[in-house]
Amino acid sequence: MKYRAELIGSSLFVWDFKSANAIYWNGYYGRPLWVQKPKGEFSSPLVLDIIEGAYLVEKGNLYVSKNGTWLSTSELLDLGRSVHERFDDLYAAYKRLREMGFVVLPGIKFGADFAVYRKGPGIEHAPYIVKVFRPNSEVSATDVVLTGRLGRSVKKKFVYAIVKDSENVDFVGFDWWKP
Amino acid sequence: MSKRAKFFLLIGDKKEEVSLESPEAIAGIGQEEDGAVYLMPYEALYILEKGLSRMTLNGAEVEFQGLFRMATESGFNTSVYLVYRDLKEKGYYIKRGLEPYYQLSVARGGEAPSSYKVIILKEGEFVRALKLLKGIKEIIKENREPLLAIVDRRGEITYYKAFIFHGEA
Repeated sequence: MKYRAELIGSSLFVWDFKSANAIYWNGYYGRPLWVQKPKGEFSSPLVLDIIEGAYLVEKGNLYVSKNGTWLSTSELLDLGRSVHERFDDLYAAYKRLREMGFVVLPGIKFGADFAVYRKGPGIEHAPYIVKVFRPNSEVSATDVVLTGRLGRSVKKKFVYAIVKDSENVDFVGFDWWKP
Repeated sequence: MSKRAKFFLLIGDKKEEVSLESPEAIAGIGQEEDGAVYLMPYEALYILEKGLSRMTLNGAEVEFQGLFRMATESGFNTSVYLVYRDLKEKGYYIKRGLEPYYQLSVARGGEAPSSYKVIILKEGEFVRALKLLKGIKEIIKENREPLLAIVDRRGEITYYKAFIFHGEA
């Protein structure tokens, strides 16, 4: 089934409630505009961010239009690059995590790039928070401790995604350890 | 450890012969090769700090402070000593690591070979994400557990166990 979304600014809106529910409940993509924590079927449009929108378009599950014109995956990816400096790295990590079967949500409220669930929000707390790095990114002691502290305070394991290119992403996790 | 064994201190890129008054007191410290025992600066510092043996270098007695200064001037990373002593004090058995991947090999008392390999990162220093990843992968390839020891600017240490994330629980 292919759904329709409209690009406004850098967000994608699914106006049809039925489509919004289908997209949301089939992998927790997007966020209902008028419902903070949906428990069941909701009556609201759905907002998708550009990363998940591009992923759904690439998978062939979504059409996106802007001012009445359909956009290709590459046009959406270009738009993503124009709104987010690290878009390609984030997209590669997002895609890989989704392919691994995870539900992937924005992680900014945890100070990370992604919050990653095995089952989904509302069913469990996100077990992982993920920060995305390039192979040449410099990781400092402070980065590790900050993410580690954060992970512990919100009871999550923290994982670094190291993105070599769109097809090569390594994930390294860290757990606080007491000798 | 034989009283007649020769002892060498590896400092910077030099190998200095040292004499130990009580070599039997440093069992488990240093690496034996061809009848000689090689000490890393952190091991020599630990010996002196704990008063396990007096040590002389070129006929002069070496003291902790002097060795600390000399080792640091030769590029020795004092964080390694801090992690070494912390784990040693907690009962771990420690051998030198495999540079540049990891600095220490660590086992709980009685365990052999070492269960953990320790990568040390000091506050203010940076490591390239790829280098960190390679170190962790190298340790996992050896079927050991990678540890990351973060040393703050006053020497406090926080440890993390690293793992390659494949999506497991």
